[in-house]
Amino acid sequence: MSARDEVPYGTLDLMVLKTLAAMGPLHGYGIARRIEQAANGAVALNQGTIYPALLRLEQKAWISSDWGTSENNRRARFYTITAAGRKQLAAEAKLWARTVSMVNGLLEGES
Amino acid sequence: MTRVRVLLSRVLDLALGRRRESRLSEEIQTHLDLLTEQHLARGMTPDAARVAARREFGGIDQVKETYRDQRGLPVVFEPAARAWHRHVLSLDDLLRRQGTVARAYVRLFAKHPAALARSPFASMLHASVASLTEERRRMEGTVERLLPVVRQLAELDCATLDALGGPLRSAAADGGFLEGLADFGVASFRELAQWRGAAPADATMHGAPPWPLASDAPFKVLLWPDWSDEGELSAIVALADDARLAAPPCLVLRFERTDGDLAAAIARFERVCARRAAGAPELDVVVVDEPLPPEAFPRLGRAVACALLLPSSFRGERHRFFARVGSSGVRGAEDLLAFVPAAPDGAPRQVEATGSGEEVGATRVASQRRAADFSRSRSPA
Repeated sequence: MSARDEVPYGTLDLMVLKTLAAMGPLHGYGIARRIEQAANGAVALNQGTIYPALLRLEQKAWISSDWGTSENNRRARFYTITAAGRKQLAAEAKLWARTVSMVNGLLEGES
Repeated sequence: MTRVRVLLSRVLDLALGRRRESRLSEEIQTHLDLLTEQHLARGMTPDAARVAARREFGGIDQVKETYRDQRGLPVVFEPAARAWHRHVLSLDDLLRRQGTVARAYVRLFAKHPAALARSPFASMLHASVASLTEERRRMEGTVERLLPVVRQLAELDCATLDALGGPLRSAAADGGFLEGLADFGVASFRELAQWRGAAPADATMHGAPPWPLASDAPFKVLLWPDWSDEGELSAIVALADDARLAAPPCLVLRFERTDGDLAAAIARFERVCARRAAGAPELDVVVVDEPLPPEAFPRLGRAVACALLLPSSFRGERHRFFARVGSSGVRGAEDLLAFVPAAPDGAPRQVEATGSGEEVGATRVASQRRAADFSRSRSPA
């Protein structure tokens, strides 16, 4: 396994939702930075991939966005998790925990 | 419910298309600026900071492409759907014009280069075979007239090609520039390959299926006499880079119609080649000046085959060739000049060869290896 792994397939949306739930409104750069910080350098994130994910989540109405000003006085699009997004996050977090638990159980049983 | 939301959002995107595009561009720019500032704060130089920011961000075009694919209705925006759409349109168009299908696909791949690597491309190619076959069928009249000449050509050495001037001229006059150039070029390359003992050789041309190039032949040629811009050139290079070809063929491209500046054309090649994947094999490219009258085809075919630079005796213009972008593959001016024939009156001809970097300046050469300096002007003995 490499020192910095790719983001596991299908988990970026969950990470974005969790980041917005924990940190409040953030722009794309802020979200990407936060994910990298939380992963403590273990994840190699192509930061550009955040934007298709944000669009996907916005289309599902799990997040909303509006223009604002960044900490460096730049015009930036800020994303906020919606009530539907929080529900989805809770559901996906449960599903993720169940999946991890199931796979762990399987691996432990095999060893 | 979520699916309905997504569908509604995609429909809304049809109306907001441009606004969404500019919004994404602005977001990307802000992101890059913030990343750059972060690196500057760590003590990087401005240039290094910008490069690092771009690297961390990843492929901007890919992001935009993915973003675009997620917007609008899939039937309109999916690459495969677009390909099919263009394909059907092209079939109708074929009734009026030749070459439409090939150009449509080239434009499509220029816009969606990722489609080349995806499964829809394979099925699209199958679909396109019908179109290309149809196009080929429409050219058969010309090809039929050319075949006897081509067969003769394959049995001749370069020194006697000029003797064919008469029949080639009349056949080419009916076929038009593209067909004439392509057929003469293909035939000449085959002839050259045999002549140099490099057989077997394979060749194909603009508008014809690329399958003949998917072989182990050491000498392969892709003639593409008609291209219009850098995007189209990128698509052609992508075709040459297709992994299924085992090794890239030599590209023979006509000089841009819209740009009479060779240095600019070379710079375009450099830019396109610089975007090729790291470690991609060297690419042989020959650029041919145009316009050329039909009576120039026999000479042009031979000249292309030999990758020569020879003076035009038709309009007082020189034919210029730029060979082997980014490498010293053409063995040098001496090698080229050795093939240049004497003028009919026996007088020596002024010849000039040009190589990568000379006309664009050393700082603008993006290739990893620069061509040997074989630029010189001399009169062959």
